[in-house]
Amino acid sequence: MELELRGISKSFAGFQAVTAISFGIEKGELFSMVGPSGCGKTTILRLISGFLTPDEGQIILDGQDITFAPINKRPTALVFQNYALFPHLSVFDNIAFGLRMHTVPRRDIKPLVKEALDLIRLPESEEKYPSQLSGGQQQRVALARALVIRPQILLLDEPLSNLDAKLRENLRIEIRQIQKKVGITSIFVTHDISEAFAMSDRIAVLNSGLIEQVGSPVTIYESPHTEFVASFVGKSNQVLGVVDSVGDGVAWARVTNSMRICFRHDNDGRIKEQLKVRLMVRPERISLVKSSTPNVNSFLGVVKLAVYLGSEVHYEVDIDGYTFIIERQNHKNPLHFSQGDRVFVEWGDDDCSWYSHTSD
Amino acid sequence: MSSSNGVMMTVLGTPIPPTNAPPVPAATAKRPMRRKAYGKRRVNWFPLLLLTPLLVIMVIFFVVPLSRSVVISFFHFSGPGTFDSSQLTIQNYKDFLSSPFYLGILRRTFMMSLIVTILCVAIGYPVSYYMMQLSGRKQQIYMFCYLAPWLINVVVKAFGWTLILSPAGYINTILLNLGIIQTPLHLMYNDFSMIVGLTQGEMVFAVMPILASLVSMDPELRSAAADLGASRVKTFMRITLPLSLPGIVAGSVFVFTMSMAAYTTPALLGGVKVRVMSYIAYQQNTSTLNFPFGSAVSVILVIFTIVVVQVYMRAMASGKRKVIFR
Amino acid sequence: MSSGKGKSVFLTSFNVLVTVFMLAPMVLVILTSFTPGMFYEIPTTQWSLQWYRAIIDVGFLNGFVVSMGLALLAALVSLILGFLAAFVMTRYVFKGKVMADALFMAPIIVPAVALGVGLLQFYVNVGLYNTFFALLLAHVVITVPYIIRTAAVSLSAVSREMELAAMDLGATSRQSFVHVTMPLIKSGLISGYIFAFLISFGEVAMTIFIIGSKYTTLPVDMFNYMLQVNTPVIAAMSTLLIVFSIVLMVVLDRLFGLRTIIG
Repeated sequence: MELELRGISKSFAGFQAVTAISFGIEKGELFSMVGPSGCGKTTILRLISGFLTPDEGQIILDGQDITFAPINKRPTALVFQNYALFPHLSVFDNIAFGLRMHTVPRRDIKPLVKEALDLIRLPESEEKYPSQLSGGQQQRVALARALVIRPQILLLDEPLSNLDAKLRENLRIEIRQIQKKVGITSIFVTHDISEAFAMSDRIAVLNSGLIEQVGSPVTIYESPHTEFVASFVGKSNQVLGVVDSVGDGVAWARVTNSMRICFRHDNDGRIKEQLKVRLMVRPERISLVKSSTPNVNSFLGVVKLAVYLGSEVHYEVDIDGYTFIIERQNHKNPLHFSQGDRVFVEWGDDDCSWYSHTSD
Repeated sequence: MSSSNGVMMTVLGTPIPPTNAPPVPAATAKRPMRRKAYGKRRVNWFPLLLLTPLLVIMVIFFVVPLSRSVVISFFHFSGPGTFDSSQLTIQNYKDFLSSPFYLGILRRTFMMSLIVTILCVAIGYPVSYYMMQLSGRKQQIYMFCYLAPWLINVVVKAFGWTLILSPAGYINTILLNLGIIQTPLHLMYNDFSMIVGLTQGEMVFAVMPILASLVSMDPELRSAAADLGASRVKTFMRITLPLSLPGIVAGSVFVFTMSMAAYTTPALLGGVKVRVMSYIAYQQNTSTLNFPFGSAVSVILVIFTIVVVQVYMRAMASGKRKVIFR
Repeated sequence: MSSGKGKSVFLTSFNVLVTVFMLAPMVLVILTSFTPGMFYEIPTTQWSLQWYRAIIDVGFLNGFVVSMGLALLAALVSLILGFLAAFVMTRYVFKGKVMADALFMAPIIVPAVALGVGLLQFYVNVGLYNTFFALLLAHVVITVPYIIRTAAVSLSAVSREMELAAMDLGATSRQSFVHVTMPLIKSGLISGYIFAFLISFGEVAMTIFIIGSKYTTLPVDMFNYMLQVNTPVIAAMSTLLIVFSIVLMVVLDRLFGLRTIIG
């Protein structure tokens, strides 16, 4: 583990920003922190970079405790959301700034800066000033400026949030490529889950200063540990039920008279009869069929809404008063349903997950 | 810069041959990081330390003199430059407020300020309106024409007016030569010249706020009004004017306050017969050296100005207009 | 609908008249300064520099030197103190900040008369009357608000983030200040200084109150002269002042923008 946070807590003027945060980051991975505004992700980033110091906990980098190390002594470099380029310095001088502060000999600075400029594909921009660059170009310069001093950890604080959608998509691929090429351990903060998915090796989902889950994109999406993660990461259908039968690896929970959902569980004893559970199934895991299939969750419903979107068709189906959202890809010979049709809504027992119900 | 074997690496990991220069200090030094007090950003004593010199100066040379002066106004005059600080009295105020002479001066100062304010706003508004419609470059130049006179010495400006308004000045010379008048007009050393001088000097303080409020107004509003059928005049009366009211109020308050306290221009252009409050304050404090009474005059001037301004602002912000002032 | 053209012709001509009104006194002063005769007249056939020579005879030079020294020094003291204050106000939060802000800005609102009266009485009773120090401190007090304002505007433009970025890249606090903050606020500081200088140099009302017999400033000299004698030598001195002020103001406008300082 290259970077480790242990029990980090921080509060501001009575407001608890993060509580007992612990996780580890491996060398060379791009690790994202996602969550809604105010969840504490930026706070954690600033704790790692040294702009803030924690009330409790430790930050260990490569075996060294850097919890209270001053900003300029830490081997971290931050790419700011609004770039923070020095307006009075040229692109060259901006990138060279860190090198000069580290007293790199003058003759070595030029090739290093040039290489950084090539890396971000702005080789002719040395003499330009930040005000002459576009947002995307400024962001790349900020990235180069951070990378050129060869930090051990690269921190990125919502670097793409100020850019328009198209640029964001292009730049995130580029950043990921650069990060992979250089092999630098990076921490990426964003509120956009699809951005995190596109770029990360692992993701931490945060909420109100706490970690909800840490895992690879697949794990987070397919096996969310909490309701929050399930709702925040992608769309989901959620219903409440009561467990009425527990078996080996599977269990059943009754939601309504006609809806009894079968779902998988790890045999760790958490599932008991009479337990109130929340069940979640993703819209794309649901099939709509004319006649019921045996041995899967299959419930009769009425189509309330059918929206044709070209590559996809979205449905809203009512089952016993619950509205299910279903998204189907437009395959060859699609089975199109329209408003008012009666259909069977189906999914396998491994297509849904459960959480113990926390009262809302 | 991290490198495990002391050889400097580029971003991509290609090694740069080492030079004879001292090695780049590795950020992750072998020595342990000491816990420093950097984290505690709430160092409350530091800012106050930096502020202390200025605080001291402001207190000694601003707060103290002003408060002293107010307190002194409640003492008895006991000789030039001295006062009896053993007992408080409001005699000074009584002397002022019961004297028709002094009240007359207060009234004159007030009337003069009022007229100057009205003139500045009445003239300043069309000026601002025009300025608002100018493009950036022209607007800047035009604005400079109005800002520049402010920093030019007030004595210089007053002198300029004597050139124009004196019996032998330009206006009279031209009018006499053209035969329009037979004897020179008395344009100098009276209320007229004083008002003219003050208006010119303070105009910019009406123009600036009015311009600011006009500029901050969404230009689409006027288009919307026209689209709904309003004529240019109606648009102005019902949309532009009410929305620029905050600027008008701000401008008039500035000009009024400055006029009430004006000293130099009235002294130079007003002449012996036309005295204002600030002159009395000057006279009492420097010739007669009657500090108590002199302070009282100053206090009365300030209080009077504040009261008038408050009444004015309340009146303007009342009723429907409250919405505009938020 | 009334024609748009009609209104703007009226407006334009009105503005022309007002501009003439605003600038005429100064223009006439400049022209009159070159008059060859004894009276006020615009030189048409002959131009003369006699009144410029008279400046020295009349003794304005003395006041000029004092005003210069006073303004240069007062602006400098203001700059240092004001900059420190602005730095603290923009970078830190602490108790009493609002009050401190009000206190530092107050001299702009208080009428020169009131301050003049207060300072006069204070100086006389304390024994500081008739000293250069007294003048200096008084001028510092009235110029500091402007410095604070310009310094605060420049300092806010240099966001805290930029200083953090510098340190993140390896700079110490000192290096961050020298390499990042300083260059960016330089123009603001120079502008503030020039502005404070102009204010101090042209200050009359308050200065008249506290001025004693030993020192005299140029504006006060001109003021007294005008009250007593009144010859075109004032025009010559005024012209010099006008040119001097305008040059400085153009520089100020280029560097910083006059509107920001005043507005």
